Amino acid sequence: MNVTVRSGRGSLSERAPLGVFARLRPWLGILPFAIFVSAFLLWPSFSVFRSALQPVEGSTKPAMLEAISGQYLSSILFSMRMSAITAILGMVIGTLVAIAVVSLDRMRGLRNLMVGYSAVAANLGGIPLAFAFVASLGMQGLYTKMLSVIGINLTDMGFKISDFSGIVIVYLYFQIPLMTLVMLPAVDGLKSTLREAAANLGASSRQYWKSVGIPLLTPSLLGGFLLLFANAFSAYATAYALSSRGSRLVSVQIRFYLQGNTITGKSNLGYALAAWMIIVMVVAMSGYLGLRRVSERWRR
Amino acid sequence: MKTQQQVLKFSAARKSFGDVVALAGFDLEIAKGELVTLLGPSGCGKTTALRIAAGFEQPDSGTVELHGLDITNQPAHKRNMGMVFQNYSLFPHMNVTENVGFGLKVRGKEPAEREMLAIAAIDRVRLNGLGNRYPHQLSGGQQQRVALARALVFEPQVLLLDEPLSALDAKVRAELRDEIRLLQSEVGVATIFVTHDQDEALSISDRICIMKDGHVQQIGTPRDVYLHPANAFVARFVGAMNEIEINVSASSIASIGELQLDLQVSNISGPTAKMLLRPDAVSICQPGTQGSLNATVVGQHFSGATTMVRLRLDHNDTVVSALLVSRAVTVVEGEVIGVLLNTFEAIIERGND
Amino acid sequence: MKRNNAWAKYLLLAVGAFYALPMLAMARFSFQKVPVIKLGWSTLFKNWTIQPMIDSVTSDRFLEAGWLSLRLAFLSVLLSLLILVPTTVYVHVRLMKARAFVELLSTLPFVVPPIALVVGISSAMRSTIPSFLSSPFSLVPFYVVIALPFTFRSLDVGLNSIDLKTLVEASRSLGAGWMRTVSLVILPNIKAGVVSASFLTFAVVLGEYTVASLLLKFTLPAYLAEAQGNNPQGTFTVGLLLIVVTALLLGVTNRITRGKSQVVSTIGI
Repeated sequence: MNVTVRSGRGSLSERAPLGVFARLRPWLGILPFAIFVSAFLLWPSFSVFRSALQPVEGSTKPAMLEAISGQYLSSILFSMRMSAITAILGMVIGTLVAIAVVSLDRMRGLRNLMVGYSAVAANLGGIPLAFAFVASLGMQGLYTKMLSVIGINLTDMGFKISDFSGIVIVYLYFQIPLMTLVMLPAVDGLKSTLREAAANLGASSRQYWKSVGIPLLTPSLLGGFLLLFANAFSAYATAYALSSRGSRLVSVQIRFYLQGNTITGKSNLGYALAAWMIIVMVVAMSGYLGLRRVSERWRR
Repeated sequence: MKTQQQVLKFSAARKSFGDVVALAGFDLEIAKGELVTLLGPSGCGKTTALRIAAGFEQPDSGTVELHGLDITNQPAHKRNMGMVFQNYSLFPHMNVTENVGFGLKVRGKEPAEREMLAIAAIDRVRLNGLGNRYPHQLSGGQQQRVALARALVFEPQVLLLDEPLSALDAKVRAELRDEIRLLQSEVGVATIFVTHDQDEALSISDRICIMKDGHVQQIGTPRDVYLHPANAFVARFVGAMNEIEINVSASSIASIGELQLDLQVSNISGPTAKMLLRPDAVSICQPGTQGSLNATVVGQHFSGATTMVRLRLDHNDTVVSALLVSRAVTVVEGEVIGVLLNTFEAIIERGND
Repeated sequence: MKRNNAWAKYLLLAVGAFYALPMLAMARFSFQKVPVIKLGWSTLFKNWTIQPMIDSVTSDRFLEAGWLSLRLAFLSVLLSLLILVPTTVYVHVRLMKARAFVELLSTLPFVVPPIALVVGISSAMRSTIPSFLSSPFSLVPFYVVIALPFTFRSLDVGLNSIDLKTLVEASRSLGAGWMRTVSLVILPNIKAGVVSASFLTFAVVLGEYTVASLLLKFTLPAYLAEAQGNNPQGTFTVGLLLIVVTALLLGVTNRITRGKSQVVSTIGI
């Protein structure tokens, strides 16, 4: 019997490998987009760093190093503390809301309502939100008055909406829904089969949460924390609207360094603070994105 | 016959969800080492029965006993049964070894012993060396093997399989099916297997329990159920069935056209009774042979060793299928041929008027 | 398995109240001309009026700011779509390898806080192309950048949710050229993505304060900052209006994408 086997030797008419040009040509299609982003995002950002690395008038140190010493450092740390606190509170409450929404899965309407409003609230901020809270808990606030009627006098307690605790409460208005939206997919991912499998293998409710539930939620919890931290850290408008002049938050202070900039000569300091802000944001957002990738892998 | 030790017993278990009766008076006993399949279409109650055994549902009435002890109200995590779900049951944040060892961990075994037993179980399901992989790095078939290892490693008293193959590709399904059976009989654990696929049921079960709308239709060995179906539903559900209209005369004589059938029919008379006949009970011969019906070949379906030949009976244009050994088939489409019906195990049912 | 869900209902009630109460207080302040001190059961229903609101919305400053904000919003939506739709379609059809890169660029705006962005803009452009920044419409490209995460994600999700490859091959095999394939086959199928991208961009622009105020452009949020001194109630009604419009835009976005198993991220990430 005659058996013919053909070998896979390429013939001469096989195409020569594409030149570098031909392989790069398709990328021209995204060039307009890349140019746009470079011009209107990357260029300003590099400018920030360029100015930040110049020294402040009357000194030889680059402004960025100056910015993390003494009083300037304290405002960066103040912002970070404020951001961390709103992030932790937002993380805890937002996660509980997500769990609550998923556990009430028979009440679809409730879930849609909460998710829908969370989508709105997570994007609210700035001046309108500040207005709403001033009307609620400010000196002439509706609830300030109502609370004093039942004996809780906020003004006497030294509470001011423009103070630390006041700003924390206002920030929570968008931090909580943001965390809810981040955690919902993760909580959904705790499918009932996992719970049943764990029970079948002998795990009690507590053991399930300890060995399965919480570990599975942890990347999203941490990621959410970082996202909320970044979100609070970069906020400007809300803080400005509430407390402008006296604010110890970095974002608001940058503005004042750059307002009368030519007079004070401290403008590079403003740029330095902005540069440090960007660095903090890069670290926080990278952490968030990395953790999110882990939890998405598990949900495949 | 050796007496078999009864492991699991359902007694008159009933379960309703709102108005829907999912399970109506379910009785079943399963012996050690036995693989019983619950087979039926969606909504027949098979999954409900399984979940009652596992403890994820409580029956409205009736009991479940394990080795004679009433476990009806025992919580799921105390039942010491192993379960394999259809999918999504491996813990995504643990690797294979950790997944398999989970049941041992919960039972307080030491890490060293856990790892040893887990690795042995992983080897048993032929996943040697994949202990460090994570579920998302495994194929569907591999994931189900891990689930199997995980369910068996702590030597459960009952193994519960909830359509474990339904989410897999056909080829993987067939492979895994046989492996499950092999493993199960090696280990010798009482097993309930739930499926809607009758091929699976026929090939691996010691006994099959066929269900419909919450009621048990028949419980028997695969041979019993195939060759002696208890009713028309079972006959149609398990294996293929020809359906031929027959006439039953007043004197209980069944016939198709001129041909009298060698059948005893009681309680039914009239022109619209139906006879259900397996394709392997139909054969061909020269046209005009005594006792045969005339028919025309309308198609052949070659499956390797066997060929299904489709024949249109002259009598009333009914199409019947004959399952023949391929070597014996030499017909062509359009050919006129004789059809012989072996009515030995036919089922008669009243037709729809 | 029985679960006790009472806690869930109480929690959602409490959080829902937290969300609703500030808005209610804002509405009360806006529409009731009774100072809080004098507020009591007897005065609860007195002096509700929309006069301050009318004063506000008819004022020159409001009209100027509102008109600018509207134009900026529309232009930003237009520019966003003009840049992003061709880019995302191109990537999905022709160069999936570039998707990660485009996604990265689209997520970058998140790491540059608006305050940092605006100081960078000043630094970069004030000296080199000063005339550019003098026009209020110079805000448009920056708004496109700020809304980039939202627009990219909306379009990307939309393109992912249709079997693009098959549709394109079917269209081409039926004889349609690229232009027709894009306009007759691809675009109609990503309508939801385009609409949600537009609405999200619109909402972002209307509410943006940081960049606008530091570049001294008089948009709606800037109006709010300015006018709260002389007509607090009226200004608050405008703030409320802004919130309602944002809620509508985001709410509609949520609804149109919900049914299609596309979960468009309304947080851009």
